[in-house]
Formats: sequence, structure tokens, C-alpha cells
Amino acid sequence: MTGLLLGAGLGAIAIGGVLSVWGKAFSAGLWLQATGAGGVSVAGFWALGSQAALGDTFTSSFVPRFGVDGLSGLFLGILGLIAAPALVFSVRYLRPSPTGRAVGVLTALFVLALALVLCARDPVTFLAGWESMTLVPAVVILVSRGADRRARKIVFTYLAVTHLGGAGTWVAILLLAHAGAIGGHTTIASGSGLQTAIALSALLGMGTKAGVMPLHVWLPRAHPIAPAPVSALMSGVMIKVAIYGLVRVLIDWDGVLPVWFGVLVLAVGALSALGGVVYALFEHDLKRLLAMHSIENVGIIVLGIGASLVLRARGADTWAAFALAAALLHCVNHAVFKALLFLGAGAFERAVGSLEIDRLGGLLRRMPWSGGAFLVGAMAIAGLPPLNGFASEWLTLQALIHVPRYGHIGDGVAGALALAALAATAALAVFCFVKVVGLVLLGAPRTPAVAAAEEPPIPLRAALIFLALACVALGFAPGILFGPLVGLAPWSSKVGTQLGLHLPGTGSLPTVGIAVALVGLTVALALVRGNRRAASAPTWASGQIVEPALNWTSAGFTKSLRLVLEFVLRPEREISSKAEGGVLQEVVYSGNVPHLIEDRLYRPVERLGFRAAVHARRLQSGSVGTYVVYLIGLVIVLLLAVRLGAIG
Amino acid sequence: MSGGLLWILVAIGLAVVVIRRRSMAVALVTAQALVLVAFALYDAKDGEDVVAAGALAVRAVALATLFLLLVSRTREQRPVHARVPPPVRAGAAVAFALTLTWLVSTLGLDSRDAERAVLALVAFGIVTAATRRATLFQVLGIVLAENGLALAALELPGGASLTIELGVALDLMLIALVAGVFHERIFAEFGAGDSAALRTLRD
Repeated sequence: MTGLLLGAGLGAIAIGGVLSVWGKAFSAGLWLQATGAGGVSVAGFWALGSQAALGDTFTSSFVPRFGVDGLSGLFLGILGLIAAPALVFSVRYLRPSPTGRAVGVLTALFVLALALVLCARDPVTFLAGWESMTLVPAVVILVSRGADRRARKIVFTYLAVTHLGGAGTWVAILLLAHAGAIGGHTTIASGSGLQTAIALSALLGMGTKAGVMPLHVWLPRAHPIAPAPVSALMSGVMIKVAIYGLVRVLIDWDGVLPVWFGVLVLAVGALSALGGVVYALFEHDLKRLLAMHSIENVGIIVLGIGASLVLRARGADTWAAFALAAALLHCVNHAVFKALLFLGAGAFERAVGSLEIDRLGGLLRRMPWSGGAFLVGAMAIAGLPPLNGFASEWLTLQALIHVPRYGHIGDGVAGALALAALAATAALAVFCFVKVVGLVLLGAPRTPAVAAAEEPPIPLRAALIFLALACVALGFAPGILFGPLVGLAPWSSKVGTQLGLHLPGTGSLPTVGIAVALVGLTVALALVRGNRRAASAPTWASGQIVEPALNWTSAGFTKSLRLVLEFVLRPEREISSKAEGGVLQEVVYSGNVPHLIEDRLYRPVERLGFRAAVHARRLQSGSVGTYVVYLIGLVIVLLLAVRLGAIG
Repeated sequence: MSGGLLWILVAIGLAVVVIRRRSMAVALVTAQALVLVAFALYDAKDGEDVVAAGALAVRAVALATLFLLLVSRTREQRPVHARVPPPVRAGAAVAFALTLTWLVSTLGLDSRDAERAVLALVAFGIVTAATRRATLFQVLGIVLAENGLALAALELPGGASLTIELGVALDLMLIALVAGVFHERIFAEFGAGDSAALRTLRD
């Protein structure tokens, strides 16, 4: 039944994609795709709940095999859960123009490529799906942006970084296949060189695709320039599929990894979480800010995986399973609220024409449904109870607290530092989304376009409201997923299914109680307030006329933090003034917080690359014959190596 | 395949390396493919082998048509001067073929003679692509090498492989179509199908 539903869902997506080509069937094609995605989601979560394997099992041979188990079921569930509202959103967001129709088809292709990775049961299909899910969004961006040179440069960076880093994925999967360890049929010796090579390659390759720091440079560039539904799929699902690959390799197939590797993963997670949120704070474009938060949340997920690896290496199997479940639960939660926020940003951009934070304001009043749903997403990503982000961050926090308890002094310190990083990340995320809500949703509109903004058509609103309700439901009852997620650990661990999160020795998280208390408190406050309203009074602005330019700006709001972190962030600012006749006429301020990793790590590599290219260019004669001679040389050298027994 | 037939295939290949006229080279490469088709049909054991031979025949005829069409659409005042004289080309081709024969101990085919013929055809094809400036000859070099691969498919233990024949046919048709478009564009731009003209486009 599950297999049938999954097959029907994927078939509907494929047929819907083909239908989207024709202008008249464009909407019907997208609706069919959305229905298919819904079927995929139900089938995926059903597979997770039943923990039953469908189809083929994993094999190290290079023969195409397809199947689904609990873990791939979870990620198929996430894929459908996000793709369905994103496609409903597309029905009115995309126009049936040639470009819109092409994006409609490519969206179907993108969803199918993601499903291919999740259903692959052999190395070749897995790698084919992996490459496809990288290439399809690049084509979507190129098609939707037309002749935009900046977009082409970004796509080049995206492809270059993900392919260079992605080589690690190939190395890891091929080494596993060579060892016959795909599917865990052969146990790789703990602490062996092979195990280390596989783990490091996977962290490099899959970490690049997931957007962990310092391999993240493509993410804040590529995600914001895609059409909103595709941004939602990229941030909500694609980077989670990379996490799926990481979990498969590090947790399922590569044996019990040594403690030092778990600590390395913790360090990478902490860097991503903190770095992502800090740089998000200084972004002025809403979609770029959301993309930086994707890096932060991937960091939180990686922290959970790191904690699981350390705890597993120390023999604390129960808590290792809880830490893994925390990471996987945050995958679900982040997918939901990030898709909501990206689609919300798309709705704002459609209504206003800009996503520059300093030029928005007052959208909650003008777009109450979209603005309200966006507010729920902002609260969820900020980790506020009783929403879903809080539940999984709390669970990750609990897992990190238990790292020092079971480990030695070294991993104890690492766990404590990771814990501090997560706590700081959570606090900074609240700070950042207070800024976003304050400047985007509240206050007065800063431009005439914002003042004239209207609610989008029903399909767009419906998609946003569905995702907002999902944030509430997952925050209210995270325990429904927690039990099956704990069961995904390859070592046997089980917990009962409840609404809240029950963890032994922690006091647990009574999400239902918290939700009831908060709702009760809100109702009580509303009753106490009655019909009274705050009396309006004129704003004192040192005698100046109050105008939108005097409102808080993004830079002004974060100035205190920028000053505190000045020694790390090295912000740049420039103030120029124009005076006439001794009277100041104009002051122009521009500020920028440069990305240190790009400046200190990537720029030197880039310069080195250009220098090497100058020398390599001598080989590039422009003659086809010469290139054939190079190939002949290479073939002869390789054959000679085989003949002499150096390879093969 | 008999030794005599293998020698004929190799001799046709060597003739393509040294020949001057494009239309003659197209005729030789097509004749070589048709010899392979004839042998494939003669050696066919079941329906799949016949389909494989059919795929080989279709691609031979389709490529010949395409190339002759290109020749007629891009008449040149005089043939494009090859960068390497014919005797040197022939010498290089034979030397490369012998080197490959020495380097590759086995291909797993039915006979060692067939393996040598395959390696010779691949070597002749590569040398043609490397030493000729005329764009059409460079494509014909690739077709020559692919004829070698088709021979290898026919000489596999168990007979011709439909998968290989279909794969090679698809591969070649795609290459030939793209190369044909490039050839026409180069001819339209520079007045001759000379790949050396592309060097002027280098930054």
C-alpha cells in the first residue's frame, strides 16, 4: 500500500510536470504535482511510522536498485510536506509564460531528483540523483533570471563549490561500495584509515551540499535568487537530503566512529550555528537573511549528529539515539518553518517588489493572513515555545548536556562549548527575528508600494497557512515523531509515543501543558485588557518632522551587537558629507560587515587559482588536434601504468 | 572474423588516415561500417543480433548521408591543408597502433587478431582527429575509432551486443550532428572547414 501510494505520488508529479508545459494545462499540472507530493509525504511518514522496508535493500553493486526504509521514509515525508504547499503556492505565483512553464517542469524534475536520492539503493543511482539535485536548481535559476549576469555568476559559484566539495561525496560512496559496506553488510573497522577517509570525505562532500561552515559560500548566494517555491525546496528540502546522506554514511554505514571525529562534527556544527546567525543579523535583504539562517539551522542539526557520534563512541546508546532523533526532528521542523518563511518572503516580494528590510514595514496590517503566517514562522525559527523550533532545539540542548556526563574531560569540554554555542545561537536568533518582525511586519510602511500592498490570491495564502499550522502542530505534539525517530538509530533504542517529549532524568518537555498555559495566559491578558486601547501620543523626534527615514533601520537595530563583536567581525563603514557655504547639506552613510571566511579563506585560494590558471593557459592552444594529443598522452600514461602494475 | 577481413578493415582505416578528399574518406568509412554490418548479419545467431546489425547499418547510412550533405553544402576552393604530410600521418598511425598493441595485453575478445585490429582502428581514428585540420576529417577520425569499437562488440565472446551497438549509434549520431553544425558555422564564418581558424578566437 505504501509503495503503491509512493509510486502514484511520484507518477503524478512526473505527469504534472509534463502537463505544466502546456499553457492551458499549466495550473492543472501544478495542482497534480502538489497532489502527488502530498501522496509522497503520506507514504514517507507511513514508512517512518511502520519502520518497514519496501523494495530492494542497499547494495554495493553498480546495478540500479530502489527501495524505502524508515530513514528515507522520513525524508520523503519532509519532501512531500514541503513540495505540496510550495507547488500550490506556484499555481498563482508562477505565470503560464514560457519561463513560468519551464520553471513548473523543472520544479517537478527537482522533486523527482530529490526523491531519486532518497529511494536509491545502489551507489550509481544515489550519485546520479545527487548530481541531478545539484544541477536542476541551477537550471531553474538560469531560466528564471534570463540574461541576468549576476545570476549567472552566482550559478557558476554554486556549481563550482558544490562540485569541488561534492567530490567528497563520490569518494565516500565509492570507498564504501569498494568495501562492500553500503547498507552496512560489511563492518568497517573502528579507527581504521578507511573509516577515517570515508567519514572525512562525507563530511566535506555532503557538508558542502548541506551548507555547513566553512563550505557554505554558495548557499546565501544561490538560495535567494531562485523563485520563492524553489528557494523553499532548496532551503527546506535539498540541504536536508544532504543531511540524509551524512546520516546514512556516518551513522549507518561507517561503523562506530572515534570520539575525535564526533568532536570535529560538533565543532563544525557550532561554527555553522553561530556564524550563520551572526551574519544573518547583519543582512539587509530578507531572503539572504533567511538563507544565512539555513546555515545556522544546519549547524544545529549537525550539533545533534556530532553529539550522537560522541555519545555512541562512549557507549551511551540511549542518549546517542536521542541526539540523532533531535537532529532529525530539527530537520523536519526547519524544513517546515523555513519553507514558510521563504514562501512568505515570496508573497511580500510579489506584493511590494522588494525584500530590502529597510524599505518594508507594516505588512502585518496590510497582509494579515500572509503576515500572520510569517509571524508564526519567525517565532518558530527563533525557538519560541510552544512552536516546533523550540521542541527540537530543546532536545538538542538536552543531548549536548549529556555529552560531558558520559564522556571524558576532553569531550566534556567540547560538549560544554557546543552547548554554549547553541545557547548563544538561540538568543541571537530571537534578536534577529525581533528585528525582522519589527521592521517588516510592524510599524508604518516606508514606501508607497508597501502602503498599497494587498493579500495574495488564495493558493498562496493557503500554502502559508498550512505551513504555519504545521509549525503549531509539530510544536504541540513533537513526541509523535520523536518515538519513530529514536527507532531509526541502527542500534536498538525505543521510546513510547506521546504528545510531549519524555526523556529519562530530565524532567521532560510537557509541550501540551506549555501550550495550554500560554494560551490561557493570553486569554487572561486579553480579558484583563478588555476594550482599553493605548492612547496615541505624538512622537518626540528632537523637534524634527517625524518621517519614515527616522524609523529604526536594520543597521541601527543591530549596532549594539556590531560594536560588541567589532574585534571579530571587522565591520567597514564610510560616512561622507556634502556641505555648501559652510552648511551641511547631506550625510551619506554606508556600512558593511564582510564575511571573514570568504575574505580569509576563499579569496587567497581564488588568487592562487588565478595565478595557476595563468600557467595552465599555456596548455590551452585552441587547436583541437593538440587537445587530442593530450588525450593520447594521458591514455598512454594510464595504459603504461597498468602494464607496469602501478594501477589496476 | 577471418584474418583477411580484419586486414581489409585495417587497410581501409589506414587509407582514411592518408586520403585527401573528404568525399572519398566518407565513402571509405561507410564501406568499413558496411563490411561490419555484413559480418554481423552473417554471424547473427538470434533476433537480437539482427537488430544490432540493423542499428549498425542505420547509423552507417545515416552518417554517410549527413556527411555527404555537409560536403555538398560546404564546397571548398581547395582541400584544407593537413598540418602533417600523409607519409608522416601513416607512420604515426602505425606507430601508435603498435604501441597500443604492446600496452594492452588483452581486451577479452574472441581472438588476438581481432584485438589488434580493434586497437589499430582506434589508433588510426585518434591520429586522424589529431593530425587533420579539416573539421570533417576530425569527425571522421572519431567515426573510424567507433568502427573499431563496433568490431570489438562483434568479437565479444557470445556475439554482438545490442546495447553496445545502440549506444555507439546514438553516441555517434549526436557527435556527428553537433560537429556538423559546428562545421557549417566555421565554414560560414571563415570560408573553409578549417579547425585551425578557431585559434584566432582564443583570448
